[in-house]
Amino acid sequence: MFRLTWRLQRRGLIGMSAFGIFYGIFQAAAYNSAAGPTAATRHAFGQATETFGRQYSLFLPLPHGVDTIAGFIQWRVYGALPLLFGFWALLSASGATRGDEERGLVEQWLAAGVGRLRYLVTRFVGFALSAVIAITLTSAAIDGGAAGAGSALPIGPLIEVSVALLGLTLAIYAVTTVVAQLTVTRGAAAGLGGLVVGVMFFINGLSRSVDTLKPLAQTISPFYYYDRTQPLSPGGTFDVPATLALFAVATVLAALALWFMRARDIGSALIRLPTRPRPYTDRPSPNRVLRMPVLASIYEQRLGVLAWGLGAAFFAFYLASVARQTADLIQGSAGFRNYLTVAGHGNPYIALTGYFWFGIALLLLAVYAITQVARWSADDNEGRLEMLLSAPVSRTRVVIERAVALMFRLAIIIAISSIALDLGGAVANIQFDVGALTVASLLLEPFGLSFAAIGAVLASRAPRATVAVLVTYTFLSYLITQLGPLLRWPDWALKISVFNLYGAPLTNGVDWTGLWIMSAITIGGFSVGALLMKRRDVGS
Amino acid sequence: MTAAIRTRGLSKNYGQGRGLFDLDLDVDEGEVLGYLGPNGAGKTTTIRLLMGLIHPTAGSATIFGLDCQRQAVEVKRQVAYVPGELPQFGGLRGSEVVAYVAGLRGGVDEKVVAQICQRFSLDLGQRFREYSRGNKQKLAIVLGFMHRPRLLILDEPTGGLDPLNQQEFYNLCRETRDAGATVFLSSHILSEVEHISDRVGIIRDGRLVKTLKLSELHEIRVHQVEIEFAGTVPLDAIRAAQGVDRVEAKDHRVRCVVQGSFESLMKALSGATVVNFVSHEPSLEEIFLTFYRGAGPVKAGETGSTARPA
Repeated sequence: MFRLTWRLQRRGLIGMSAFGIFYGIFQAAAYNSAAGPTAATRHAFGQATETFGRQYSLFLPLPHGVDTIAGFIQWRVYGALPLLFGFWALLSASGATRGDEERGLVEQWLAAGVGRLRYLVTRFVGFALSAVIAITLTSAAIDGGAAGAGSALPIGPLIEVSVALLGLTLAIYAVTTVVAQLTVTRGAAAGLGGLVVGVMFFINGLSRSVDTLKPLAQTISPFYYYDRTQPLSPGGTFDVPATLALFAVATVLAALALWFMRARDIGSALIRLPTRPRPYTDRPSPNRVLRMPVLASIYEQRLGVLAWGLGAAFFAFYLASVARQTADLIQGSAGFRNYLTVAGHGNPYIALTGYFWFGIALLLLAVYAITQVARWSADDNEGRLEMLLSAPVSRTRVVIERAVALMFRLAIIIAISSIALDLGGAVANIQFDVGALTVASLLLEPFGLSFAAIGAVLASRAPRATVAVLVTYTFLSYLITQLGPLLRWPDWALKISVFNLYGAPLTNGVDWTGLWIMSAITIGGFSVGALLMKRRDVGS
Repeated sequence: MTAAIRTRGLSKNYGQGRGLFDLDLDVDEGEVLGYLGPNGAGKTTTIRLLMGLIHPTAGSATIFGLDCQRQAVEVKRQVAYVPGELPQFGGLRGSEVVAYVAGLRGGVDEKVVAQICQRFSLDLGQRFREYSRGNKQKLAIVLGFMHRPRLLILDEPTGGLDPLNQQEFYNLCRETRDAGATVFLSSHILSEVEHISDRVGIIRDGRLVKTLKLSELHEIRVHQVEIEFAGTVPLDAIRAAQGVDRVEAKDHRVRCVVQGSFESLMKALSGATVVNFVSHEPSLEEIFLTFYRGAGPVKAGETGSTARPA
């Protein structure tokens, strides 16, 4: 069983290790470009970043000692990795708990005489081993990147922060395993798990700047205990009790998950809510929307779209509402003040909001597009596409409907988040130009669609490899956006990233070149996708 | 009359000897053709080629004169496909799945849906994920039959159905045939195709090895029989009985294989005291191993020919 578990785990392990290695090497290597070669430039960089980094306190720990490469890596890399590894733990736990149950694998194992204790322990140990390997490779790559930049990291603190990251990753895995016992499907487990972990993450993020939230973060958030350990920062320490607490939480929650799993029926949630008795029916649903091609698809995903919209709205509102305060802080630095004033055409608040929100919105929409492409891929692998094509529906129509439905779903998410941005701006007394905000929001459409169009080509050519390839491309694109300017890459190299094609329309107007390229990718991608779809065998 | 299904040299080569090779097959309009073969013989590949889901490496297929590849959409207006297993529709209710597929097809009469649901006691109010395997298969049958197609392509459609519902399904197929529709029934169960087919095509290792009229099915029908006697065993009479082969005797027990009718064996047993008589139908693969080892392909229009029986 362990070998099978290992097989099921290996894609995640390879993917995470690859991401970790790339991320680590690039971030470490970028330090010299960002901070400059001399002690004076590094000191200036450290001061500016510590001021600027406060804006990130919802997502990253407060920066400390970033005028050294070790401090920078502690903040920028080991501050962000919990998100990456936490996401992996979330997906792995929901897949191991509910995904395999949906596929009937758990039933098979239990029928073959594997006890629930052995099942959960094997999955947990399998994931723990994967996490150890991925974190070790990531940390080794970070050290390699730092050594390449001329300053190898101290081994002891590097091991200490890696151990803390392992503890946090296992704790999130265990949290999701417990939460998954309350749901029935993998999607619900990932959604509810994401909500719980998200609340833990943001409570801790908020507690970095709101002291009254600290007791709550201390009570419910494993991220709080991870933050205690910052051994790479100058003067930072390895908090042994906090790290042990992470492992203890993981163990206790794993035991709780086992108890829940023993108490429930396979295929059912731990708590079965009483369902309203429904009369027998032998008639098709009268819901007209289900009979309308594009609308049926939107209706089917209505809860997901709403969740994405509200999640994006939360980010938009928060970032806009704190923009004035942050901009005022940042303007203490003359360089930033000039930059923001020029970029915002006289209004630094709008420049800062645009920079933060639209940067995050692009990432969110890219991830959303990937989830949609993953569905297209799953439609093929799981037989839904075959069912669809058994009706008098052409393959071209399938591709067009996918694109149009996605366009509407993106529009809903963008509209909700843009309204939230405007409201958040109003709270902070920042008045957006309605026309500019509308244009900036509308331009998110071709961005999301262009990602999906690349996915459409992949899903039509090699559906089984689609998600892995698209996620890799997204990750590398984002890295290019983040690191390309720091490493002074040429313009053409930066344009490889779709993220760079969006421009800064809130402050600088439409980047027409970028828009044309995104439009060409969208139209070309879906056209090629339709052509490839016609040519290939369904289900292969 | 236009053939409901016509294939010529239809092939799909997956390599390493897997796939479908040189299929020449005609199915007349209004006919029920049983398409019989063991697992992995190429039945589903044939169906996927007919439905235009996969592309042939050679040959052609038409349905009502329409090319299955180039005119796939027009073909599917005339055809219903009932798979052996429905894909997951997750949280959708049965009624919503029906409405969704009805929206794709158009022209679905709700009364027909209600009639089929009533026959199979299927509640469309349940969520898809709550359905048992049998109920999922009933839903597949509803989706296939609800728009009164001219041709029904059924891929092992009774998997998961209990015997009563299987009988109901056979009745539904007969009624559909009587109403003028053509049925292409893929199965690996000989007795199933016997229930409703006018003709049977036998496929093995990707090649059509034989087509038979229903009246000729006894040629391949065999039973493994085990008889227990209270007293003397009429061994010589059993060995001499027509259609009885591979007789093995031990103590008061006899095992043998009977091809075709039991009449001759029964006569041989008359006068003996039989305390137990067990007969079972061997798997299709066992039948093939017995009778069609090394059999070659059959050409369209040929029936009743067994190529080189072992």
